Amino acid sequence: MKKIAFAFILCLILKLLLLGQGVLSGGTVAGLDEEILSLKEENLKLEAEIAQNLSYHHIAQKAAESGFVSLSELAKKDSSVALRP
Amino acid sequence: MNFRIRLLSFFFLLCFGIIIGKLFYWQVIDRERLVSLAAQQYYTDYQVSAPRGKILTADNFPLVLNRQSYLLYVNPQELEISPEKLKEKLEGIVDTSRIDQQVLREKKLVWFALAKDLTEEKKQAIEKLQIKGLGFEEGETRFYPEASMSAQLLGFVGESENGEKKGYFGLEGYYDHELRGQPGRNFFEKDALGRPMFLTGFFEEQPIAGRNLLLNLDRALQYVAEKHLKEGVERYGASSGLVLIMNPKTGAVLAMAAFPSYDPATYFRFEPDLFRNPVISSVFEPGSIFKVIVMASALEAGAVEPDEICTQCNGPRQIHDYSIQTWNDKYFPDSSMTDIIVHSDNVGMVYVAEKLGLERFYQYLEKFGFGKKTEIDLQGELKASLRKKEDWYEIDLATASFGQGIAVTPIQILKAVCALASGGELYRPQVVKKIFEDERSITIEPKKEGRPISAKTAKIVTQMMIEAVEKAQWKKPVGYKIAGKTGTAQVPIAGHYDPDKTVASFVGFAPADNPQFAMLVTIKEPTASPWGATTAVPIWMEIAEEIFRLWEIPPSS
Repeated sequence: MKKIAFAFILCLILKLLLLGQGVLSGGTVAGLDEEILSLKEENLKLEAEIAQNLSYHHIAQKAAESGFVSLSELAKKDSSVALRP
Repeated sequence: MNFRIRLLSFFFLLCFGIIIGKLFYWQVIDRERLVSLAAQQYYTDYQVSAPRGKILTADNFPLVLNRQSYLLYVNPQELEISPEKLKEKLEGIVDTSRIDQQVLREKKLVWFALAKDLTEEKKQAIEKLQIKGLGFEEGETRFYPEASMSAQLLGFVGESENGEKKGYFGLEGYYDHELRGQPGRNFFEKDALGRPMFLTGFFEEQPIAGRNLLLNLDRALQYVAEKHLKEGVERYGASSGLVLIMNPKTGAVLAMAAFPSYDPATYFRFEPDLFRNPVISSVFEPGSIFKVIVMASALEAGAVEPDEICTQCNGPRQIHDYSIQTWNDKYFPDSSMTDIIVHSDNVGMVYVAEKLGLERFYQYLEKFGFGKKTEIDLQGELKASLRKKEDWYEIDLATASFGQGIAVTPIQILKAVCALASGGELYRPQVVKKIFEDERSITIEPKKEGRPISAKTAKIVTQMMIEAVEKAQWKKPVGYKIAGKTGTAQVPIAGHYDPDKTVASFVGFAPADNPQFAMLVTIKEPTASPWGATTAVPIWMEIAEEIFRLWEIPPSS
């Protein structure tokens, strides 16, 4: 009888421990999920930023700001231009 | 005493009865509501949206991406400032013209959307204002690194009747099912802090991200085409224009530009007419660019020989009440078939079409893909039907021989010209090269649809087109062999042709001995000059010159 009671108490303690672990791991997983989400968001942001900076529109705009002239513009002016060294 | 005890007993019984009654009400009658209320407290069940697939150009550059976006909402019950003040504070950050101040005064409301698709920067700017009652909901929105580049080809993402994201027009519409993915679902029991408890009910269904599209589109070419088209339309005072570039050996669409265009990120600010892609959804009378198709058909059928002399080219041709003339009223009595193409001779083309005959003419139109959709992988393609064969009269055959009285879409005409460039093989135009996701990919192979003409005929017509370009006094890239044909079509209105409006075109391919690209340039209603030779040709040559440089194509001679 005592053994059964002992085993019952042991099972109860074990269940409590597991339950506690479960709750704790829930917290850990939730934290990890949040971290994954924020990393994904950061990735999205970086991907968009890189793409925007590498876009032809952006490069053309920066080139024009820096004083570069397109080849077609040069051709219209009939200037001689060396395409390759 | 007994009375008191009985009264007390009755009182206890009454209370007991009330409790039993209430418990019965909760357990049996109101059970479902309470169970769901409890489930809301214990469980979390939410949908995880699937990221929409990306669209990449042939160089793997993202033309369409997803970006974190925010929906700004207000809880009017918590709003401590007046709607006027709120509008004033948000001015310059969001579009406040659509904010309904009457709704904001409605204190029964707890949620009202003020603006959507806000960027992180705008969200931060609003947060800095510290207005109580405002909140944000996270979401994803389409982002276009190249801004409005190839807008009509891409289409846009809007909302369906159910409020779900849905692609409209172009690729977004055609491949909506592939791009949208499948949302996931999370279900779990939560603790007091809202964290999941894994010992009890837990269910997680991962969202399936939308598939990505890798296009045949060459980004550099698309940029160049759009730039020159815009400049050309402005330079020649035209109402609109389009450029289409294809690989004639595969049917791959390398560039597709239309002007005016719109910004797919803010599509709702533009006229819906601009959403339609004119390359696939506008019909026009092709004019003289159609002559090469008719000539190829006649040569293939053996109706005429390349060096045959036209016996009716010495003056205007009378067909019943109609007089057919050349574009400049000049006539060349001993024209060969090549001369007819070189001079763009309408009378000569009537001679060719009559020798071919309506039956065979109609058959070849169908073989070249006219009268049906090209089945390009874009939403919104229009079917330019051919008139029934029984409804064709002598004059119809005559005018169709030089591209009048027949309606085609720009994609149909370039597809047919590509067959001349590819040695007679007809390919279906294809925008997407590959559909892929993390684990697998589907490569879309070129789709050959037939062979309307032999390689020999294709070579003869190519030579005629080379001569048409070489004998013309245009500025063209030096050293390159270009095969092409100009076209100037009149615009039909209410049963007759508008005397002032034209559609100027140039279609061609290069290098003619080993074509790398075929291109169509069409300019609608140019005011500086009505002719294709002085409007569409310069744009075509400018783009071709850039392609030779970009692709490092050596000169033919």
